[in-house]
Amino acid sequence: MSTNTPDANKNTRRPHRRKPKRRRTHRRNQPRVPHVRKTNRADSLLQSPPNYPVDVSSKSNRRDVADLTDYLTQLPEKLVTALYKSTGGQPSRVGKLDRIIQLTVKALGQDSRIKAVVKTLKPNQLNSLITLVQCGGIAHHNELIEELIQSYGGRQRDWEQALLSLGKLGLVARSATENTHFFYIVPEPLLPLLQQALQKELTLPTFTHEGVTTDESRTLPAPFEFSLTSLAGYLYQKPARLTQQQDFHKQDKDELHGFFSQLWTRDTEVFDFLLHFLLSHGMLSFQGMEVSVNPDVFDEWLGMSQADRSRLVMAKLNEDFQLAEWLLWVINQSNGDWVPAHPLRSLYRRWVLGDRWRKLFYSDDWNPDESMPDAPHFTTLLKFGFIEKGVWGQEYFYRLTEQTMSLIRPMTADEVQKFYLTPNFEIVAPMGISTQLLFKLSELAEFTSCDRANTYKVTVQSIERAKNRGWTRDEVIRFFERYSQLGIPENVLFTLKKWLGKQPVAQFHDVLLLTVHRNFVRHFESEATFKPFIVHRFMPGLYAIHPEKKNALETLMREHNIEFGEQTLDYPQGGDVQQEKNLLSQQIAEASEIQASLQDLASPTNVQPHEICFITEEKRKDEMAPSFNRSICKNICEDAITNEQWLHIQYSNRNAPSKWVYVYPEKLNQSPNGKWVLVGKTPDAAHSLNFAIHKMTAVEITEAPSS
Amino acid sequence: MQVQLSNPVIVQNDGKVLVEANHKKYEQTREFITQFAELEASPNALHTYQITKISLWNAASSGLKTEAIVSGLNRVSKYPIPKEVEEMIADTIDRYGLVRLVANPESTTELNVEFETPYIQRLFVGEPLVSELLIRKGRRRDATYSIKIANRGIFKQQSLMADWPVEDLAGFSPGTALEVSLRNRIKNTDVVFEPRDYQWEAARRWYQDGHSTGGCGVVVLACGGGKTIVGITAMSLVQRKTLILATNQASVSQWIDEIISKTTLTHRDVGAYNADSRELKPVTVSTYQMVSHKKSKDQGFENLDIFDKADWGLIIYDEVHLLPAPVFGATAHLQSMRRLGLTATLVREDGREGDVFTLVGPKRYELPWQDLQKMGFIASISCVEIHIELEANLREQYEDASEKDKFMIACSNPLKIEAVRYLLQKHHHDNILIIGTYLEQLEIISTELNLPVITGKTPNHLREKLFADFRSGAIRTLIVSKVANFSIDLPDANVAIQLSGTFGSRQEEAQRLGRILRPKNLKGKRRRKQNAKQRPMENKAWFYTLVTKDTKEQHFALNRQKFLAGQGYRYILQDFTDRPALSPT
Repeated sequence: MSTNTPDANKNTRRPHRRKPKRRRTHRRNQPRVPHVRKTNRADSLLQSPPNYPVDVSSKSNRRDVADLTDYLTQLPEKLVTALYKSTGGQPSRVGKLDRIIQLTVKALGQDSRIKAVVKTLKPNQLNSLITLVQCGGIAHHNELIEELIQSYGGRQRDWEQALLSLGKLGLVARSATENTHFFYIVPEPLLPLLQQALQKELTLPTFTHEGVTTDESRTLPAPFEFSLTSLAGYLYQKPARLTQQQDFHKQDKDELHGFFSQLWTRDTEVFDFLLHFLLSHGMLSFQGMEVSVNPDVFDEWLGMSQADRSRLVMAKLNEDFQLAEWLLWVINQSNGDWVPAHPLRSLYRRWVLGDRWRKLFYSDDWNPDESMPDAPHFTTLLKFGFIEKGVWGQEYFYRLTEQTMSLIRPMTADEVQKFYLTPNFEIVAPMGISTQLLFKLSELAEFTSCDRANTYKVTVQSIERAKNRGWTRDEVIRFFERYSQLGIPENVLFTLKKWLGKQPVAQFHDVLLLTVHRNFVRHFESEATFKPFIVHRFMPGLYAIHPEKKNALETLMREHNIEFGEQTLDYPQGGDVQQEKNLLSQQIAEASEIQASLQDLASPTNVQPHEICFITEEKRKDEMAPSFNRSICKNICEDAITNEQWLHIQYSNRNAPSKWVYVYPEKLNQSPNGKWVLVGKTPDAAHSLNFAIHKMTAVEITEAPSS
Repeated sequence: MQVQLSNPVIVQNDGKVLVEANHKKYEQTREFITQFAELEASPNALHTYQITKISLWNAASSGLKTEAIVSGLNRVSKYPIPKEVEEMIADTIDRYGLVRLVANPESTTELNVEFETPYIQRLFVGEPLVSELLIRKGRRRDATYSIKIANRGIFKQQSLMADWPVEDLAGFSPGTALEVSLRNRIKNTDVVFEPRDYQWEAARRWYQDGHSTGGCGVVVLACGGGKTIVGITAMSLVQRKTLILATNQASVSQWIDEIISKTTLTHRDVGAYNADSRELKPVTVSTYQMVSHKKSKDQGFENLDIFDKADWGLIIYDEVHLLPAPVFGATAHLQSMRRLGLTATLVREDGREGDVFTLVGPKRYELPWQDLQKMGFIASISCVEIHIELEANLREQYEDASEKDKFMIACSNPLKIEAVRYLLQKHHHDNILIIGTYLEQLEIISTELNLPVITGKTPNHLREKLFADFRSGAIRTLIVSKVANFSIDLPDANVAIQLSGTFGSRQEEAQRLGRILRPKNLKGKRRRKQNAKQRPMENKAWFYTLVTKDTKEQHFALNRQKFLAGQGYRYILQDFTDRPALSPT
């Protein structure tokens, strides 16, 4: 039996990576602290939890030093002095504050100093500090004490004393007080240093033992996309009938569950998750009282990058389970070992609490009106099949399922490349085959069983259906020749050719038509850069363009000052699918936004140094300098909507410098994770756009912009 | 367990085992899997095996344990084995041998029933299907159980139905001794005779040195693999009076010829038991039809007593998958005799594989046709399905006909004669069998092409003569009806033209194909004088099926096509209109 084996790479806090930070306008609570947001690790498509980068460089550059000096300068003198003292300095021997700050910066640059301080901490102090770091460096005073008592026992007075003593060491500060409420705050430059010093304590233990038993799951550990594509393939062939209550007809549902008995059992909610996923991303279409798969939209989904697909799945999962992505990430750090339930739950609870306290801090009222969240349980993730639970003695453990692993593990080259097409017209597609091939097989052959290898049967009916879907004789034969092991058996080829008939004399083509005004034809055709975009030139001024290259061509035309119509002229009955596809693209953008908002949660507390007090001091909130926060920002937006006024917003994007934009506000929406989003139009956009409130760094009501 | 995509096997939830045939570990994997699963389909790239209760009990009877199967499967599987399959293997294998039949030293009329544990005894005794047959001795707690020796077969059958496969260790009655030796050379020739290695191996595995664990069971060999030789080799091991049951009279004659030419037995020792001759010789060969013959519906089987008329030491069931129900009944009473079943497939159309397992015995040996072909013991076959148009006037008639007649009209398409003529010309050097179901059609072709025909009406002596002429090369083309489906050994036939079949019957297709599977031009085989000037025969054969286009016949042909292609035979489809391009090679 092995015991809990802490691993140096598996701690639950991250030290900061010192990387030059983009300079931004300081309108909001933007501490000039050397920190970066989380980065994904190479082996995972999941987003890591707060403060989690692993490869830490403790060396600080000149800019970091300047930022840290700037930060410390704004802190209360007593706090800086206490920090200097605890890191080994003697304030009485240094006269000026500037010199103390200089020496403190130097001390913090040495890893050993903070480590030495942490080593001297008493158990209560240590536990308080760990809890604070796990919560993200900010904690409501009462609720933190409650959390500490709940986790470690003890009396309120003891914990208050411990936090006070941490304050005297300069490791923990506090906010001003509002109606007896205040927050404990870890000064942001200290967070990564403390994380490094507390690495051992913050590490989640792992466990391996042959005797760990799992729930008697009889289902196949299938990758998420295999399950999703198989379900889509099934619904494509067998649309499910709906009842008046918009539920699946019982008989169809039973049949479906029976068919997929290897992928899920009825007591799980894997099917519900997959179905809702298809539904919420426009991949299902309703025809009368039947629900079927929209093959074009599903193709679009399959054509996305793995990162985009994983992002959409995680966004959906985060809707159902708060911070699911972080939780999966942290379990994944165990490299397949079991993670004990108790420390995992504690960590998760502290993330949730940290998020709650941060929101509370930026709200107008610091009185927490809701009670503390209950002890978390991961039933949702268990039922959706993303994690599995193990039992050993009295202990519970968690680890990721193959379904989740398949989402976060980058695809490798050793996936199954081809399927088997046998002379008796059967197709065997082993699990692990590309999902694009899997769905195409559903278009070409009857789906007969879903198992470790999906089986299909090529029949005259299935070929007929494929023809209706637009497959041509040559395409079908080329597809089978290319992706079938050993090609097409002679007898199957003969029969297929017969079923597919001759190559038609008339053929539809899916291209985009581009018309150019006769005055510009010469200019358009003489420009060599446009030529690669033209699939076919029917006549001067009428061209076929590849639909997927439209955006690139638009950019190019813009560069060449060729004005073009914003909208693609749509002909009757052609818009629905495109709309769904657009919806999918929009949802990816939204998922990215949700992910970005998670990143915001992961970033430090954003408490400005001037809002921090030495722990023995007490200031009222209204004594502090007013600051721009989300609440103010939201109020301004609401006013503008009510008064139908334009807004001038400074908006930051993750990968681009922030820019000022004029927005005519329409409404305020709340995103699935509770973030406020302003919906409005910019002067040059035809459609409404979303602006996340938390990304606004400045906002003002303004006159309508001139044309 | 981790996913190992580099492994060659996929085990599906329904007990299907898919094996990549081009994998470098294929040979060893196949050897392992055939021990406990039946081969269902063997197309080029992917072979399908099926794990069934019977196949597992066959494995258990040869001493294979659950752990060996499960761990072996895990070693070669791409994905974790389904829990259901793992449980099914464990439940099934572990049940075998929990109940055993052993000889009763104190009684010649009873056999003792032994149980692995008292708990098993309690469970088994409570089974309604078997409780009537059990004789209890002693008080409830210390009770021992036995059965009447006459109920041995029925007891095993009933136990299997209740999912308790009985291990029969009661042994066999010796039977009257008969000295049988294999000849070194075929009688009256210089041709060296020696059973092939696999034939020896099959006979030895069946016999098991005379232990009570052997002496009964089935040997599975493809058509043309030499099942008769396995039977003769088994006779030489047992050295007892033998009763052989075959499918038809022609087959009976073949058995007799083979035994006399390859063993030291003579016509005095070997004879047929049929309508003409009711004499029982030390080696008697009869047909299933003869044994299960009834004068009228109300009367009993008049020849079923053949089993009791002599003290047989061995019964051989040729084509055991065709064993009729009355013979099963008689076999149930013959459990004290050694039994050997010979077949090309264990799959029975009536689903009575369980009866074969209990009453004849477990599978002792199997060699797939691909291996036999690789060794050169059977011919390499190309199947060609030729599509033929239906003339306009017949098309109209076809459209108006009933479903049953439609099939007949399509099968009897007169244009098929053109195709036959073309193929005869194309294969003028070859020995050709033309096989059909509709007698009228066969007669027409016989008249038009001036070819001899054998149907059910053809007297036996004439049949024998025509078969003998075909074998000797005196006639090169023979038209045959369904009578030639089974057990006719026409070794030099290398082309079969199938005019029509019984709807989509897979068994018929396999049997007809079996007629041309015999090896061609083997070493040591005499070339006929009259063929000396002709080109030597290749070890290749062609199986043509003539199908009328866009008719019900084509629909049924598709089923047969799937079956043969699934078995791994090369299958080509062509239009007769493209005949200049027809090229089976």
